[in-house]
Amino acid sequence: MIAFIQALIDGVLVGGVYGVIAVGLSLVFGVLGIVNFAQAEFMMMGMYAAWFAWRYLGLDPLIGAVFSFLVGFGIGALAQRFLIQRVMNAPHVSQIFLTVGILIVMENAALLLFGADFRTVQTPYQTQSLQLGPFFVSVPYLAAFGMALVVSVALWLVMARTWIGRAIRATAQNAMAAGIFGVDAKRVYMVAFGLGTGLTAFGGGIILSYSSVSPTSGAQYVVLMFTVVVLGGLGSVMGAIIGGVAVGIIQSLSTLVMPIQVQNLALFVIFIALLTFRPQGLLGGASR
Amino acid sequence: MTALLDVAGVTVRFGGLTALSDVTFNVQSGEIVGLIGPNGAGKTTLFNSLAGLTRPTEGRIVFGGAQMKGLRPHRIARHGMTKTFQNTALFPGMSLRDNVVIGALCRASLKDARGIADECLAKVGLLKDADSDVDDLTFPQKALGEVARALATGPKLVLLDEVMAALTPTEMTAIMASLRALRDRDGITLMIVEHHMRAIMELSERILVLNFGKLIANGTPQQVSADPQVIAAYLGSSHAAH
Amino acid sequence: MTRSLIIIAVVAALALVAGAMLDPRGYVVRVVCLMLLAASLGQCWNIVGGLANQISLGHAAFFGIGAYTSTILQLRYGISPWFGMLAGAAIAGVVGLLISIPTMRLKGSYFALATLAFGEACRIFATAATGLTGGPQGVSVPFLGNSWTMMQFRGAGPYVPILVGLFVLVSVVFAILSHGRLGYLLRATRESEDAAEAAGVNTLGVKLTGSAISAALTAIVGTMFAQFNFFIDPDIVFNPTSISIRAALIAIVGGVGVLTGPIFGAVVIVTMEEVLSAYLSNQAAGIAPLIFGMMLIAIVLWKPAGLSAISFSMRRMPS
Repeated sequence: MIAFIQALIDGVLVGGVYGVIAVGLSLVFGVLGIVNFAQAEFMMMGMYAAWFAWRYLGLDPLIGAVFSFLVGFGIGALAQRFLIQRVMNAPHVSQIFLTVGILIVMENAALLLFGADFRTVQTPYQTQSLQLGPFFVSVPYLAAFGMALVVSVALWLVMARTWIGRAIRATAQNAMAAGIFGVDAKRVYMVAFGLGTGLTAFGGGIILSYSSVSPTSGAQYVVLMFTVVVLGGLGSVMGAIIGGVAVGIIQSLSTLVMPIQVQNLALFVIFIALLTFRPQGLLGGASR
Repeated sequence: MTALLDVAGVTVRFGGLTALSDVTFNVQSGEIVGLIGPNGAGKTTLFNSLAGLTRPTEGRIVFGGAQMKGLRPHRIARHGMTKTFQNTALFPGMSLRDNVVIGALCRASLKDARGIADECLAKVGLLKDADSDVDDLTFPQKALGEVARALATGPKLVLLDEVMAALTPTEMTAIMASLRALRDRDGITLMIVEHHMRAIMELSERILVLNFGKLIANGTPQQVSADPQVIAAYLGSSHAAH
Repeated sequence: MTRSLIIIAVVAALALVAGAMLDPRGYVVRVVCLMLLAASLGQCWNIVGGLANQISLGHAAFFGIGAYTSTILQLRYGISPWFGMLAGAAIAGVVGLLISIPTMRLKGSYFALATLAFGEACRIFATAATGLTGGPQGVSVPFLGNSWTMMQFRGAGPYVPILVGLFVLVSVVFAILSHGRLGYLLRATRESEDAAEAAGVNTLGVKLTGSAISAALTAIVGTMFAQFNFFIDPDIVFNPTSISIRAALIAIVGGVGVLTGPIFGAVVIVTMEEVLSAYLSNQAAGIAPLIFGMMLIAIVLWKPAGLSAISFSMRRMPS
């Protein structure tokens, strides 16, 4: 029982971060209607950005994640403006292969630039944990969860209260109508995409505080990210957060009963089952 | 005598919208039955339910003595009931003949299917256009191409959804003759949706009237055109009685 | 189509001649074999990607199943890879059917996602099931000397006729599928499922058949790769980039849905890979896939005709 609740705690904390990583993907799909196969690579990019910020500027990854966000946003916006915009109205085939191509380019560029070794950070609180009765709450997990919460609230505020947030939501619903009211759809797409990739990169930065980075880090998270999004409903931001926590819990609980490699397999099976039986997610209500 | 098609209590709901409500009627073998109603009355939904493209929420559909509800469309087609598509749905990038061949493949080899296709095209007067790419055909030609493809499946009952749209009076007379021949010569039962009132009144022996998803009349053309409910449904339209 | 078949025959003949006349242990013959393997793989992908318009990013699953099945049967029971190949094809065909049933109704990107996930699931399974597959270290095909019954040879030369046979087989299957009865049904299903169903086409059955055939053939390519390479591990044969995406790329470069397309694609891609590895060797691991990625992007942006064959707006069927 204790092990169960401990796993639950760990799952929720880790899941919050999964939610932030996936929310970017959900945003991109909800606004642009594109399934961005390269999204996980932006997480990898965010991890490296935060690592370099730690190595050369001494920034804790939780702070460096902000730098990750900026890098992710910048590169994502550029990619959208010059590459993805060109296939916005093209058949699915083109969109799939364009983002797959970007995925391959990013992963191998990282391999060429940074080499294949795993890199980690060292922070003073890395091995600490707080004790609550019989349970241990890992400090890095808790801090990461805290940042995830802060960012989620910030995102919500941006989407609900700012002009750009409203413009994004309007364009997602009806680009033409939004255009009549002076909203430049192309610019909105660029910002929305950048916001999405930036958030995923931010998530990567946070994860770096308790994980290692290598060029294949992104690939490891691809299915997890998509599972979260499909679970919560493609296009739903709140769904991504809840889906993230759900996946975190599933993953954590399954370590109690199966070895770690099979645990990833379980995630895949869930993913395929979801796509088959409930592509609109457990919460339903995707905007597309 | 048992009806060829027996429809009882068919209701179709899409979320909160009720497209068809408790529709009950039958069609005897060899009849030509017309189906009319204002736009949005549910005519195409009814055809889609019969052909298996939409699953009725409630009700029973019995064709040739066998239960049809819940069967996949291709099985219903192989039982002998098939439909044409209102805005035409021929396969692009192929010739007209190849489109019709596909209809025949459910009951013949590829070699025989070509012969069947040409026969069906001849029945609707399109044999000369057999080699044309469907993208090059006019809308009326496509509509008739749909009929030919439906015929290729060897049906007992064809649901024709507005095959006479955009025809000139001469063309319409020709098509009506072809359709009558399908029944007289080939014994195919027809159920026709059409907005050309005069055509449908002339062709049909019996007419069903749908309004807001409900069947409000079921009788001869004379009975139906004098029915006050039907006239009210078409309020403003003066085409009712001829 | 006759012209395309003639081209295939000519290419096959050229390859056979090269295999017979050039040094069987030499570099050129080895490259010819690699090209035949690549063209076969691309042609298998072409069957579902080109004819059924289903973008699969998980063909590595079937490739790996083929490679591991024949190799494991050989190692444990001494069974000839010729039989192992058939066993692998059968297993892959069944697996292809099973995974198709739930994913059949998914649209474009969702389908691609599901297949990618499935391929990865297979890779993870192969890595974890150490007892069965030998785990991440992989397995080697035991070298017993030149043997036709065990499908292995010291040099690349004797493989040429076998691989030519493979490529011709897959191409003939593609030709039959695209111009025969199933071809008509596949095209109808692809263009409009509703209209096809109303016209009596069992769209589900048609799609499943296409999937199973493509899966089985891909497994055969996997077996022959294992025999050619003498070593397989999960990261080689179940690899999403170097198998799944590469298969698609080979078909795309030559034109999706075109019978002779994979030949062109294989020549371009294998040449590029060999040139890169000759000039850059190990310092630049990742340079080849990087260029693949850029090629993909370039094709999508500047030669969407390579992909537009999938839309089939201009293709005609013989009447």
